Amino acid sequence: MRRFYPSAWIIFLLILVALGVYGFYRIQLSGLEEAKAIAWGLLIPSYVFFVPSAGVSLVNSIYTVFRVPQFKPIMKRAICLSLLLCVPAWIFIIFGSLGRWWQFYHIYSLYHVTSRIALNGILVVVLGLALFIELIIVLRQENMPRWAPMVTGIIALASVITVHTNLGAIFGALNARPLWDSYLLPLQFVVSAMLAGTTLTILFISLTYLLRRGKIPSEVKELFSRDYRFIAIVLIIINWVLIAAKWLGLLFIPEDFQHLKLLIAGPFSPTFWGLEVILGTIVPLVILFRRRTRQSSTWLLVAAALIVVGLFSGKYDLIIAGQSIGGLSPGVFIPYLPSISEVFFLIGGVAFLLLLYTLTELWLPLDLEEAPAPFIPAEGGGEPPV
Amino acid sequence: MRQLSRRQFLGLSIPAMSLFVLGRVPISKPNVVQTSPTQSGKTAAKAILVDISKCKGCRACETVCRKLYKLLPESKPLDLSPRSLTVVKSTQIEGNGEVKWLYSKWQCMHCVQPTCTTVCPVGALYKTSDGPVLYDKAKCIGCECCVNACPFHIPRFNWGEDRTVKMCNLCAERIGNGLEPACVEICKHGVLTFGERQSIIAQATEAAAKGAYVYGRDELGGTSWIYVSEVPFHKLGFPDVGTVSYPEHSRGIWFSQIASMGVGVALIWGLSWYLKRRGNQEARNNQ
Repeated sequence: MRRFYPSAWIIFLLILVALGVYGFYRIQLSGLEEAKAIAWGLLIPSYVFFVPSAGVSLVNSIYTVFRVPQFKPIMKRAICLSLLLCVPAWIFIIFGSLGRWWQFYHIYSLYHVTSRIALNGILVVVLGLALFIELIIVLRQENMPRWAPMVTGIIALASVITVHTNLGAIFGALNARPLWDSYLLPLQFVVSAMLAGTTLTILFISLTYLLRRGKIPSEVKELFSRDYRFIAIVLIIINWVLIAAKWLGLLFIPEDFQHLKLLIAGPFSPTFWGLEVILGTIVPLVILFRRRTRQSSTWLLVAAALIVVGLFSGKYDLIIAGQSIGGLSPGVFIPYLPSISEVFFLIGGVAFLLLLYTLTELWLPLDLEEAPAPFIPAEGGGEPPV
Repeated sequence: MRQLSRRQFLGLSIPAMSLFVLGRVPISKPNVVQTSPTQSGKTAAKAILVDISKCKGCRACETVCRKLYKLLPESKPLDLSPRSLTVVKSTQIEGNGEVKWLYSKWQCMHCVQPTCTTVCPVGALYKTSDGPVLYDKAKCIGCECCVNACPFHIPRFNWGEDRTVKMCNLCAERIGNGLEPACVEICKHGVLTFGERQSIIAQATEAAAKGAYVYGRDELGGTSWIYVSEVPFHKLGFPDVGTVSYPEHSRGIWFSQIASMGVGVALIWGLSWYLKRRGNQEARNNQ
């Protein structure tokens, strides 16, 4: 019995991508006027979530740079996933967030040396190139010098780390926003990027194996339930230590504490406590620690999915709540709700990511020992073999 | 002490070297453009002294600004917006058993070391030597970083119409022609005094010596709008932005970035080392 029908799935994704295009069209028409009480809306946290998701590459560097052998089986898929995760990020930032997106190339032609956003514009291009070259190298490994994969792995690692620290610094340097203003934010972004990379690797690759083969290979299952589980636990703890340390400074200044209060006891407290803390941290930790659940692929998938939800909610709360107090009257709360255009655009961007991932799964030899095979339709038509 | 392998050394040193390869350690000086000389042949930074005690809240400054820059009408705006580049805010103050209203004019502060010009990725915002911070929409990409970065929460991005940043430009063209800003000219109550920044600072310092409160002289490294008031500014809703300018504050974050890169690589290396060691031990146990 077939588990997965690529054609139907691709058509479904194309419909969602069209929805995203419609969202883009609505944004151009209405100018996001309906929801632009703050400067950076839903699509900025989406960008900030997906770029750090290229932290898949950070975790993957455990094999590509440091040659830990048990990480080898998923190396190619992880590199591919890391590259693909950048694509929705670029779409969200250029076409969804820039008010004058048709001039986005000015970042390169009018590069302003003091701006971290300008630097980020260069770094994400370098990151994309580094990941792309790394992918080509590992796919054609048999024709490459032995040192080539490691060198590209090192360059990719350097690019990813630089992007994430700079992205954290974009927010961390803004002393106008107390919730962001912190020297720890660059490091916290790196750690959350690694955590996002860890959990998205588990999610994407486990689901890929389950849908394509019906089961996860034993070496991958062991890798996820042992090593990735350990990495996730360590990173969750470090992430929260950094968040707590970052917020410690806000506790003692009343003008700054009101910003933190938005999260812990204000309009953002349901998402903070519900999604970030309980569902995104406590429940996954219980799953990852409990003897009965920590060896189960299904429970590992659930934990990974919950952590992803918690991380996205964390980025959303940080960025939206960080802008929610401002204007001429101090202490005035500026409410924000994502517009339907932004939601459509987000859905379309995620669908585009899934579409690209599906196509690369079908066309590229991403299993460790897999050689490329041409697509040959079955006799009389029908679905290609999955 | 365990020696590092060549791979491990490269894994640690490449991120540190990458900053030099990129060569993008930023200059902290704000983007300053030299404007054309005034009629006297010299350029000197200008500033405006605002005596809050004299303001009657007539909003003539709001009206003339809206008229001069052809902005759509907005009655008694409570906040800056694409239609209101300057706003007169009223605050009720209680003291000595009486209640009174004080009015304070709000607009872009035209900081000496602007945050907005530093963070703008394309240099669409730039500081002139005359004092005004100006905006070039031909360069702007609409990232709205200036909107979030400004400690005074001044810039407004006009999504609905022409998609440009709206903020006071200190009537730069009028200043260049030797005139006063329109709001200074229209004010009949002597609230606003226009002149060279050093002279304005001296007047503000003189007022401070007599017991007045001063705002804008030292805030964020200094601004072009210097306020003088008989009540503390926090009672009037002026934000406490500190005296450290954004470029200075931003320098510390660069060290934090470099340190974070090192810690990040160390974290990955540490995880790799532990997982490899554990894998080897398990392999030995299985044998």
